[in-house]
Amino acid sequence: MKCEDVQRLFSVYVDNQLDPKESKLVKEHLSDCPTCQEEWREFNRAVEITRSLPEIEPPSDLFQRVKEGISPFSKTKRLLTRIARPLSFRVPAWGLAAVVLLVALYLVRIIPSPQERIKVMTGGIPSLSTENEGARVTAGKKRTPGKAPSLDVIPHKEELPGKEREEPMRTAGEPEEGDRLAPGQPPRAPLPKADDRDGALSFRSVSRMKQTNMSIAGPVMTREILKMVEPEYPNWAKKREVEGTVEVMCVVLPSGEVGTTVTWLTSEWSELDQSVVQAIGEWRFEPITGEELQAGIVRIAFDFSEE
Amino acid sequence: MRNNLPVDQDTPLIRRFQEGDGSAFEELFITYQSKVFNTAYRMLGNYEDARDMAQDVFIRAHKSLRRFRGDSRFYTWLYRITVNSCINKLKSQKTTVSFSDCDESWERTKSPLSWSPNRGPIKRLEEKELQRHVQNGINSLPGRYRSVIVLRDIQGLRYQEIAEVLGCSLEAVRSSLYRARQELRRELKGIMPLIMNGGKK
Repeated sequence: MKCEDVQRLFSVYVDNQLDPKESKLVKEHLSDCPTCQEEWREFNRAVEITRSLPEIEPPSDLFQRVKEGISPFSKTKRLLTRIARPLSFRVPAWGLAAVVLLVALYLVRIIPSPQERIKVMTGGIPSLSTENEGARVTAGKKRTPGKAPSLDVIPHKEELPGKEREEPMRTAGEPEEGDRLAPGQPPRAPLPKADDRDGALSFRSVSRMKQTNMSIAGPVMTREILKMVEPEYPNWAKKREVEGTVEVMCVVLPSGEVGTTVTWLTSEWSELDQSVVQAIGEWRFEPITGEELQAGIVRIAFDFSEE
Repeated sequence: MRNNLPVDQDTPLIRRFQEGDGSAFEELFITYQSKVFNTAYRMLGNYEDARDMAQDVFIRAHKSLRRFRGDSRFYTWLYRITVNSCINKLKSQKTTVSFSDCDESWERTKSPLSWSPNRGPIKRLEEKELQRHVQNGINSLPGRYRSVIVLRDIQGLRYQEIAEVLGCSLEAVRSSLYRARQELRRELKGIMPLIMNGGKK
């Protein structure tokens, strides 16, 4: 028998599937031929090692999964989960973004003073300047009017001792200079006035002005907002009836100051986005003890029709 | 040829199922879940895919079992669904690179020769490491080769049964098994010195 022929029989030989005569021939050849011996050792070892792979315990919920798949409602259910799946990524993505922000914060060693605040703008935010198309952009869904407590902000009078107020109280909707609003703290007790349409992210409405609705989500949402600055709603945007929702992610320092701000959801109008980023940077949250940096997403919806 | 095969032990259960007894399916599931899952696991190379695949296979089996006429034995039929679904999945995966692929190819680039000799408490870890290399070796084979190796060397099916699962001749099983094993052995060449008789050269 030639070496080649012998080696071709290895596979059947290892399985004991050769008839006794052939088997004897192979054995005899192996005892005389060191080359084939070495070949055989390797071949045999490779098979042995494959056979030694352990059995893996199937997932304990496998039958549950199968049952869900075979129930009469399964088709719609599976379709729904398939649709819903992308939503479930919101949380991790959000957490990831927070981590990225925090790392960025450390890397640039932000000194938490407003002057030195660094604002990171991410994503190419297109500046749409087309005059046509009604110039109406609505990113994000519109809030139904009247859903939130109808008057702007319920001024929260009881001053907590030891907490400085940055701004004097001013009635909301009195757009002096367009900038500063001092709505005070939003009512805090019945938390979160959640707007649950995003599933994972629930927003608490913090202020509802004539043209802007502001709400907040994330770990920071339980903190009082000591100073709220309403973003400027540029006149051109009002005139052209530009609407949009901007979401800005921010990292809030223990002192209550806002560290880094990042456009999270663009309105597709860079000027609007920028105005929001700028305004949020001025916000001031209730200070906390400890060194925890908290993240939050502030959503601001511009709505000209509210006027 | 089929007549030479032993009677399908699952026939009573299948009959019960076809007569409307839902619990019969659960019994079949319990008997075969590990086989289906492990076949998928070794063929696809990762846990999540194997879990989804096993789920899919049983759902499919459930759907088709009413029309199952016993032309083949139940378990070879179940293996056939599993293997074919896995091969299809592998084909569709070719165009997309999944994270686990990246992961594995990354792992593969780590030199197996950097292991320390297998002595003492490290041994278990090395066993795991070794298993991963073997799995990576399987992962590098084309789907057809993976299936014969998994069916024969991991599931322990006989040639006749493999032929039934794959719908091919005994001779085809023999030759593809030979080629698949040679291929796998080539893939494991790098770690051969380590797996030969427990680390001895």
